Amino acid sequence: MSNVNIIFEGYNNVLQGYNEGGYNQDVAFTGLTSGLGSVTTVQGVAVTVSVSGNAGTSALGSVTATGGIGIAVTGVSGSATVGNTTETAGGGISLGVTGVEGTSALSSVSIWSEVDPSQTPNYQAISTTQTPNWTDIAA
Amino acid sequence: MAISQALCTSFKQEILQGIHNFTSGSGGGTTTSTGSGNTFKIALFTSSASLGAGTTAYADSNQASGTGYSAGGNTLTNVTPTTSSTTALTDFADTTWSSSTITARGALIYNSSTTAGSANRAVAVLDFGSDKTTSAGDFTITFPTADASSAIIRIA
Repeated sequence: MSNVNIIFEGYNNVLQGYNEGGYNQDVAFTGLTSGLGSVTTVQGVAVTVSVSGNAGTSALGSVTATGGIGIAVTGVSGSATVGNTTETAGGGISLGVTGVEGTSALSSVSIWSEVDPSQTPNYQAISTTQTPNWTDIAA
Repeated sequence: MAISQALCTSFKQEILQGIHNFTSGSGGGTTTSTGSGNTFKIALFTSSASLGAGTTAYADSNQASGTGYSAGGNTLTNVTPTTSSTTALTDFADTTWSSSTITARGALIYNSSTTAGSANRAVAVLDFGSDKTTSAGDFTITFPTADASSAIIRIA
């Protein structure tokens, strides 16, 4: 609220008769009162009321908070419902969400290497003294 | 149109490419040497949106709207990733759209930092199960307990 300055000068002003009072002199002003109406705040909106000036008396009306201040609603229980129904407690909700998991995996790997050329190859002669044998298969 | 809860497939690939950094703090790069992580955000979407494992990036189509909500959603506060047994996990601080009038069916967590040449890379899709509505109230997302079985993002 802005200051209001009312200046009464003696000469030819609206409250004094012609040629009454001294020129350029202040005139006492009594009986002035002021007041402020009520202030309504909405949750989350900061309200600052400054009162200034020279008013003899001032007053603030009642303060009313709306919008669910101080009401905690947890989860989706209580007044919460599914679908498009608006939750009622304070108009707010606290929505618990579930996490997501990524599963990881590690596959086995194949390991190979070059054949070692420094190996000493070897062999063994087949014995020529073996006695081969056989059995008839049942028809 | 549907919203299906999932860890986005592109995100899994990008983890292997070192594109995302969930370290506490924001504005950093993709390496922990910067001391801070990327900036992650959460955006709300209506039931008309199509979101799921195949989502690769944030887009504003079918995003929620209303009093107290700005396109792009809220910036999340990172919690530095940790491990529990053989599971790696990360978490975010709960986030709230105060004094809002919003209806949303799901949400997308995404990396709003420009990493590897692209911004707004999708991380995870959250399905609320049904429309959730506030009327001049607080719309709060409460993240689950940050443990091996419940954390919001886990790699087991």
